[in-house]
Amino acid sequence: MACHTVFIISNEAAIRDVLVELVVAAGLHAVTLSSLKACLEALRSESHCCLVLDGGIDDKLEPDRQVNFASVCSKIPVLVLTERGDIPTAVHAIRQGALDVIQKPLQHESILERIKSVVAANIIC
Amino acid sequence: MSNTPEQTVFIIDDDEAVRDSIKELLESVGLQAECYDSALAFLNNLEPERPGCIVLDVRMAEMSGLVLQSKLNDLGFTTPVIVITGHGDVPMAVQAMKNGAVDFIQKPYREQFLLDSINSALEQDAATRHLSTVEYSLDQHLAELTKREKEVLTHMQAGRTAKEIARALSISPRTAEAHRRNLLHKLGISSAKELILHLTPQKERNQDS
Repeated sequence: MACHTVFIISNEAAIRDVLVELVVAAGLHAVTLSSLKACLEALRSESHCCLVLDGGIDDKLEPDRQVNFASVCSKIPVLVLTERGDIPTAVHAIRQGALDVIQKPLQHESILERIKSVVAANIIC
Repeated sequence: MSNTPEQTVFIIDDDEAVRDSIKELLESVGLQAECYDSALAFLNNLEPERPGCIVLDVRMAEMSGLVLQSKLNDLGFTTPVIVITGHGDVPMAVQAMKNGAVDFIQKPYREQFLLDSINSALEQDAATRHLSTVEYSLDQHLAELTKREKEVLTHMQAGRTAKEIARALSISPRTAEAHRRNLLHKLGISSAKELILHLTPQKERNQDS
């Protein structure tokens, strides 16, 4: 069975809204979550295809959140959004197991393509 | 300090001033460094058996650092690579990290930042090389086991006790225990727990190939 749920985490309402709109327009199901911890819990009950995570993975953050990030990455493909040119965050994200890093400001077309290709690659879960 | 003395930091950069400054920095903390002025110069003198790590510049004439990184991957080269660049962007960092770089550092960097990264790469290389030595010597010792000992070993890997092994092979528990002791001794391993630790990943890798 195909999994259609895209989890979305962002502190910015504008980014959440854009992502939800894109995901829904693509015929997928969008679920916004408040934290990585909430994502770990949601993973237990919901079928899912990927997480789009905006920020909150700086390597200077508290250890708990680091553990949660690595743990989420091991369970679901994660697309991390970063500020343009934020190389340290990109390096950290990939090292912890993120699938890809996408720079802001968001290009609607390209982020949608990226989500679709993740969905296509994870059709069975 | 877990860095063994013979570890070398291989610096690959076409800018002589950069090469010299990194080499000087490393030597100031007692690390051995070797410089190459191009990707090809390094490829032409490839010595995979030499432990250490690579500090690699991205933008170089003829062959870029990232192309060299892919070539080294294709060759099965496991020495950790730290990528350094003055003209990096996020996609380039993602590519280098996905290709297995241990770090991607942008110039200008703080010297301590580079040193920390190099030290952790050297530790990683030492650990990888230690593991493959242990597995290599295990491989050799495995060939020395008798047929019966190999049977006992298979049961041990399945987590069976001496008593259970004895029953399975229709031998006395004392004999099974003796086989168990002998084979551990031959493999140079102190306990069944350690045996499983060493042999399990190897088995999984063999299945992959």
